[in-house]
Formats: sequence, C-alpha cells, structure tokens
Amino acid sequence: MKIRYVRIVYQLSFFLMFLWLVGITAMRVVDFFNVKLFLNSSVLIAIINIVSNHKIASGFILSFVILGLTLFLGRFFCGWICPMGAIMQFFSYIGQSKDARVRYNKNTFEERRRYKLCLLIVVLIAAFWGLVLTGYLDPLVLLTRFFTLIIFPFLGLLPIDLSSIGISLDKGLAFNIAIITSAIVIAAVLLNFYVPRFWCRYVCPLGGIFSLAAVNPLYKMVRDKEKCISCGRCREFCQGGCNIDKDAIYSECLMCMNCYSVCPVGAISYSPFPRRKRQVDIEARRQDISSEKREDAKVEYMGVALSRRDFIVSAFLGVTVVGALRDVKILDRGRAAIIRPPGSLDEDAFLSHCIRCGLCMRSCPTNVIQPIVSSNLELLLTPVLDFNKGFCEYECVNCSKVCPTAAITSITLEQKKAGKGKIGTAFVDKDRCIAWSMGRDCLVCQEVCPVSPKAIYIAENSFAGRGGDIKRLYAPVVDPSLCIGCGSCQYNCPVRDLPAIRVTSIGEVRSVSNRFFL
Amino acid sequence: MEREDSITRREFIKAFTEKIILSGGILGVASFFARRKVSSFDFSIKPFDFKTEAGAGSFLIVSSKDKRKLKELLGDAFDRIGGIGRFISPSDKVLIKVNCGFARPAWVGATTSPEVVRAMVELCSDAGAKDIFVFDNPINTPYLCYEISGIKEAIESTSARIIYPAPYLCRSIEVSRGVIGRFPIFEGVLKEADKLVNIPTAKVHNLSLVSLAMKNLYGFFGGSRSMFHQKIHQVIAELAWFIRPTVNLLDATRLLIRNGPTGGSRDDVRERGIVAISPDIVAIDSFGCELLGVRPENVDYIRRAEKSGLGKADFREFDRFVEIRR
Repeated sequence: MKIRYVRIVYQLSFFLMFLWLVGITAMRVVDFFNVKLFLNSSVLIAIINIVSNHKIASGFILSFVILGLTLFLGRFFCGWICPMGAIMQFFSYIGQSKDARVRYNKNTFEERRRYKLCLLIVVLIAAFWGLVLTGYLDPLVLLTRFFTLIIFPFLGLLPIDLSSIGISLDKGLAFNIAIITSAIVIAAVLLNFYVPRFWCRYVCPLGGIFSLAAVNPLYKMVRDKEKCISCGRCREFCQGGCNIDKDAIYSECLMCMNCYSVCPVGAISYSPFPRRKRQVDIEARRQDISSEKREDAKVEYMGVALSRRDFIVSAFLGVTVVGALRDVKILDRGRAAIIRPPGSLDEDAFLSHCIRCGLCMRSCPTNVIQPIVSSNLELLLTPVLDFNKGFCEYECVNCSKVCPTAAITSITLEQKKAGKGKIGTAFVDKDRCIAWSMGRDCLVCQEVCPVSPKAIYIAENSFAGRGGDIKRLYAPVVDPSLCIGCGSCQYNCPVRDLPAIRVTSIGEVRSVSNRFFL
Repeated sequence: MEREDSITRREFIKAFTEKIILSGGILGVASFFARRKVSSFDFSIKPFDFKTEAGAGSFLIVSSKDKRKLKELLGDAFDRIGGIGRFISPSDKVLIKVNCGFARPAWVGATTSPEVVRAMVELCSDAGAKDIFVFDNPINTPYLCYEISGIKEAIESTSARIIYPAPYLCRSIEVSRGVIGRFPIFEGVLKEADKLVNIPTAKVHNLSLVSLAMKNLYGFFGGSRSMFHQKIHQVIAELAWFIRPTVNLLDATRLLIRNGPTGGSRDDVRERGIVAISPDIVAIDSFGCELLGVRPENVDYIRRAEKSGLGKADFREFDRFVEIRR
C-alpha cells in the first residue's frame, strides 16, 4: 500500500477525532475525555502563554513532546496530525490545476515563505505586552472556534441526531458575529485554490515554529541523485513546496510523502541523512536551480532565511498591533465591566491567558457564553455572558473544566456554590418592573432564583392606580450579598427586550477593584 | 410610427376581457370551495381530555418509609380501585408528565423523585403499554435537568424514553377564550399520547402558594410563559381545563416547604414518604395544600377549578378514600 493513503487515513482520523472532541464538549462528559487534547498540542499557545504569563497549564507538556519529536521526524504534525492541515490539503487537492506544469511551478520554494516567521515574531512580541493573538493565527484555535460557532450550530438546524456518538446538537444554538470571528478559516480555505496549502506555507505561525525545529531533522525525505531522472513529479505533487527535486529545504517539508509515492524510479526514501553540514546556495535557490550546477556555493543555511530587516519590521509591527488593538483609554482593564464565566481570572490576567478558542462557548449548555461584541478590539473573540440569550446554569462548571489555559480557573461545583461563582449582581429596574410600577403580579425572577435562601426576596409594594386607589402587591428586591449574578432572573423576565432585572459585573468575586460594598 | 410587435385596440380589448373572465372564474371556483371549508369549521376549543371512567371518585394515599417498595405499594393501591389495567390498557401510548423544571439533584425536592417515576413506568409497562414517554419543558437546560435530577438514570433500564422539548413539537393553538388565548403548546407530545399520567412533586410557590398537579401542567407550555405570572391562578385553572390527565400521582415523598419552587438547601425539605393517587386533579391539589400547610380555600386556582367542574376539593368525602401505610 502506498504511504500516501496511510497518511490520508491518519489525517482523516485525526480530523474526525478533533471534530468529535469539539462535538462532545457540549455534553457532561468533559470529566472523562480530554477535550483540550488538540489545543494542548499547539506549541504556539504554550510559548505565548509562557511569554505573557510566565507559566503554563500542565497539559501543554504534550506540545513540547511534539516539538521535540519534530527535531527527529520533521514536520509530521503539519502533514499527519493537524486538522487545519487536513482541511487545507483536501481543498488544495480539489483546487489543484490539471496542468502538470502549473502544479510544478506553484510548488516552487519562494523566499516569501518567511512571512510565517515574521508573523510568529509579531505574535511573540505582542505576547510580551500580554496581547494574545492566537485567536487570529493559531490553526487549532481557529478551527475549534470555527466548529463551535458555525459548524455545530449549523448541524443543529439539520434533522440529524448524533447523540449516539456523544455529540449533542442543540437546536437553536446561535452565536454573535459568528461569521466574522470565523472569517479567517473561510479565507484560508479559499486561498488554497490560489496556491496549494497557502495557509501552511505563508501564514501559520505554529508551522513557523515547526519549520525552525525541522531545519535539519534526523529522518527526512532523501533524494538519491544517482537514481533520479529529474522528471519533476515529486515537486508536482509536493504539498509543502520544499524543492525536493533540487536541494530540499526541509523546514518547508510537510512530511506529506507524496514524493515518495509518486517517484517512478524509487529515488526518494525516508531515511536518516548524515548530519554533516551541507552548503546551500541562496542564490541558486532563488534561481531555482540545483546548487550542484554552481561552483561558488557559500551559505551554510538550510532553512528559510529571515533577514535582520524582516526581524526589525515584524518586531515593530508586533508593538504596533498592541497599540492598535488595545483601547488605550482603558488603562485599568478591570473597568471594562464584562461578565466573564464563573471562575475567571481578573480581567488583566484573563485577557493574557485567554487564547480565544471558544471551547467554553461550546461547553455551555445554555448558550449564554457568547463571543464579545465590543469596540475595544483586544476583547474581540473573548467569552462574555449575555443573559438575554441564556443564563448561567447553577449546577454546572463545564466552562471551567474545558478551558485549556486556565483563564477560567478550574472550580468545583462546591466552590462555585460557596462563593467562587459570583460573577455579578442583579439590579431591579423599578421603572420597568411590572410588579413595582404597573401594579401586576409577577415575581418570576424570585421564582427562578437558584440560590437558597433566595437572593431575591419579596417586599410589599403599594401601587397607586390611575384613580388614586392603592393596590397592595408583592414585588422583588435583590439581596446583593446572596446574589451570584447567574442571570436566571434577567433571562426569564417577561419584559423581554430590556429586562426589568439586569445583571452587571459589579461585585464579581474575581476582581479586587470591581466592588461596591465595603 | 407603427411598430411591428404592437397590437390593435380591438385585439387588446379582446385579450383583456378574456383574462378578466378567466380570473373571475378561478376566483369564483376558489371562493366556492373556501366557503364550504368555512362552513364546516368548528370554532369550539377541544381540550386534550385523557380522562376515563376508571377510578372515578376514588382517592388513595400511600405512605412508606422504604422507597424500594414503592412499586409494590403503588400496585397494591391501584388494585384497590380495580387495578392499573383500568387506567392503562394494553397497546396504549402513555405520556408521563413529570416535574423536572430545574437542574437540581433529587434531594433538593424541586423535581419529581426518580423512584416514583420509575415505579410508575414499570407499572405502566406491566399493564402492557406499547410506548411510554416522559416529558417536561423545563425552565433550565433540558438534558441537564433530566441528568441531574436522576430521572434519566432511573428510567434508563426501563422501556420508557425521554422526549426533549424541540421546536417542531410546539405549535400555537387556542387553549382558552380567557387569559391564555392562543399560545405555544407542546401539542406534538400530547397528540401522540393515548393516556396522560401526571406526576407532580409537592412544592410551595411564591405566587400561586403551592405548585402541585395543576401547576405541573405548565410544563406543556412553550414560548414565553413567564408573563402568565400576572394572572397565575386564572391561567392554571384554564390550563387544567384544557389538559385533563388520566390519573394524577402526587409525589410527596419529599416536601419542599421553603424557598420554592427551586429549593437548594436541606433545611427546605421534609421527608414524608407519601404518594397520593386520584384521577381528580382538584382533590390531589387540595390534599397537597394540606401537606404543605396551606388551606385549600385560600388557594384561588383550586376554587376556580372546582367552580368550572374539574373536580371536588373535599377529598375526604370521596366514595373510595383509602389510606395504605407500611
């Protein structure tokens, strides 16, 4: 059997595994399965978290194992495991040209591949200021969010039932600005029709890290110059575009092993190459000819060349992006007054921990966790609780279980009920409340309040009717010391457009400054 | 200047008249059929009446400390009034309406005890029911409600299944000519069933004072039912007129005496180990009131329901009033 089909089976199964793990996150099975497995394998997230927080969740050891293996095996993650890579490869295959010459030319190595390293530098420099850009550039984060916000809500509209394999497709799941937050994935898919695996070759900063590790891996695709008949079929089907038919640039090799499968004379093998220094001629590479043909090969470098100018420009860009995205007026980021999921870190720490993967949104049973809509671009894609769309379920800590970087720290149900779950405080808007100012019985908010004793108690209200007659009835009053800000009252309030009882973040337990009681 | 594709005045008038006559004919035929449809339309509201003659005028109270013997006890109780077979005939599709409105563990007392649901499901299945399904439209997240309350686990090994509220089951229909009017009801579930077994749990309620069998029917409402709180007594009475269960089992194994209807603390719950059975929904509610320490005369919806002829509040006067204690 051809190794290419083995690879496709691997890619497909890893892709389905990824899909399944994101899918089951909605159920209460997060205790049994590690749904963060794929996010934990991204070394980009790990490095960014180390840079911005000087610490990392223990699950990310996996990512360093993968990085270590890359030194020996090449970029096997990109070609065999990465679900984004699988999608890109699939669409590249669909979109490939029928003309062999066009295919050959499109798979030629270019110096522009260094752009992904430039983006890596931008991301890392921004991380020094606590700005996490994984939400735009990490493939696993992008894909997790794409499936959470678009694919699973869409599948929920179809008359299919996947509960037998643990995937619950809730009907009527909907997220704010889902298409915008997922636009990068859609753009990346479309760009495959322009250049195969455009994302992997030019953009992916995670691939950039792997390309640095795979400059000269122990095992690699080796071309036997004696056997080679220079037919060019290997480059024609190459996914990474690593110039395997000339002097291969192994940092660009995605280990797709198409060259191995298509070579008519068996000149290509996957074998350890003697680790001697090879001389690669950049000039020869630019002119796309084999260095054997040139006498004056000088440069001893086998990866993508990143010049000093590139480094300075991208470092500058990294600083600029911090200024561009961060709303500089909000110096104290805690004043943003956002209701975060229970167990979240204080706003400053939360923003530098949160990788914007959207797994908490997937895990939420009530659809209350939404991507934020804000003019402060740094907050974009982070989770916020929108109590007009749902409420925070009292007997549930799913989001804190699934958060891969502990931006939502892991809390137990007991801790949540013992006070760690206070995410805000409810306020009765007496002017809109039908019990306070319209003289009608209601008390729905008091009924649905989940804490015991209830944080909403009832007080007698004397309502003066139009004719001056006094009607006595009961109306709700919030006890802020008991209220946990779950939003059940706001969600169930019959005044539906702007509820008469609303939760704001004041009094949240995660913040030391966002308090109003002494 | 004359164009080649233009028509003469004569041709225009001819074509125009032809179309007028044709469309008039179509309209005439359509209105003829439409009128026939209208004349056969029935404007009266048809309630979902699952009531049978079985067990009329009977009221049973079962009490036991041992929850494992519930099935035998309930079986015995039904035998006193002619057996469960009089309520559930073979090949019936039985809808069991539980109270599962909140994602709360069973000990909180906010939901129907899983043991009672399981015992009733087994009795129905022994009586030969073809299909048994459990339904509620909870306030909290449906699957969490069933899972945390333990109802899902309790009926897992039985032949019953859970129907989760889905939009396609729900339709706006006319419930009453009073306060409710047209409102979304989970009609799809009700239409599928032949018999309806109503198993509420006994709770206090902030506004209707008690939440018992009639209030449990709230679980058939879809849509934004929270606004019904404004006239809750009238709404409950109208709903009880619209949906009439075959038999009601009041689960008073735990009483939620404070902080209703959600509870949350062990101090709010009293263990009583009582189950009351009657086809008379008003009697069941007035019995529940007495357990919870509320005078039935003070509960407005019970008076209204009794007035509209749904049942009798004074359960002690019943022909067959039976108490079984173990």
